[in-house]
Amino acid sequence: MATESNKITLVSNDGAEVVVDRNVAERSMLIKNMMEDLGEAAMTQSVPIPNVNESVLKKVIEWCEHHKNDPPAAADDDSDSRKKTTDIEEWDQKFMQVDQEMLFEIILASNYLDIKPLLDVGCKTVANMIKGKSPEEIRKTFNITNDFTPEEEEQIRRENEWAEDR
Amino acid sequence: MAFPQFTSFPPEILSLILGSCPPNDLTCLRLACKAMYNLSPSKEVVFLENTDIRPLCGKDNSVPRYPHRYECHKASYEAVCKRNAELGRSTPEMKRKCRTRWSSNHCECYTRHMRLHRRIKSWMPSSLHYCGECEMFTKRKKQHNGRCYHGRPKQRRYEGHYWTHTSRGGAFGRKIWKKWFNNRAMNRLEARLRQDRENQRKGSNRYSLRKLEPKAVNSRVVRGQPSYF
Repeated sequence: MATESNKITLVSNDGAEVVVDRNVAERSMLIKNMMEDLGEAAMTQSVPIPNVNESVLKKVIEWCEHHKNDPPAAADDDSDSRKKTTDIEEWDQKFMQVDQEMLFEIILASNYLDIKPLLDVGCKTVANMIKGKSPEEIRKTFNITNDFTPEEEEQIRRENEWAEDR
Repeated sequence: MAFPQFTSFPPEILSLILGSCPPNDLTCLRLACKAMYNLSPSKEVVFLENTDIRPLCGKDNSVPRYPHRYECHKASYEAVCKRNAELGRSTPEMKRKCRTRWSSNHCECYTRHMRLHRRIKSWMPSSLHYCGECEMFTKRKKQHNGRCYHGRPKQRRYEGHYWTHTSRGGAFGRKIWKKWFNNRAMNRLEARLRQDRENQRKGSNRYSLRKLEPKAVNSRVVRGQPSYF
């Protein structure tokens, strides 16, 4: 069990304080680098996280706590296995079963806090949401407005040779 | 909406998402809006027959379709036999042909649902329909009854190329020309030819017979002898 001195306090943008173990918080490269720079002085002060609200911060910490013993990922691990959309762990899949707003907030928070594995899981979840959908269905899912003009659509068809030019 | 929109993600996050998508998903996402299209420019032509999934049985695509399908059918039957044996049930002998629905069980290896042309069908104009031989969306003429002629002219039975409302020229059959050239027209043609022939016989002004006009001459003088009357 972590001692009191191994705990740090994170403050969300809505002023909520969340106390976490240092090794959990250090899943975030942003916090880890900050700790290394400030040293022991950071342990006594609360760390503001201005871009993340309380509910999202708690969710991110929940993920960090579950993955606190994971080995650190290689710096430039761009292998195909990492890119596959289906290989999300079962726990992560359940963790990501949230509404779209929360999912997008988690992705943005993990990008801000520099938690690459969580960012990957978030992106893969979004990629799985796109899987097998037509352009119209994708627009409907993510509330995207179609801003293509008929001429531009015609141009795309011509570029890709999708329609006869007779 | 207050929460962040998909299109308002920073480009590095969008690039990560696009990097996680297989080619067909990527193409569909690019067609969703202009920002997505410009974010991931494709340098290669995307084929409409592309599928993202490998055969579900895990076999290579290079195996010919029907032997592959038969093997999957057999493997599926063996699995059913094993399950029934465990439950103490008998299994009827294997049918040579797969009797399952085309989208079910092992035949799912060949599902066409994931092909790109199926996914972007709703994005294409309604006047274009996919043709498997041309491997592109083509326009179908009304008179072609929804078929694609693959850019070739329509094969016709007769060389006359006469068009009628009815197939095979209707009651006229191959003598469809009679529709426009009937007996009355033939009579008129004959009359005209007859008239022409008569005119020809009369000749032109130059070669027509000389017309004699009476002249006031003294016939006695002309003949050189006195008249006895």
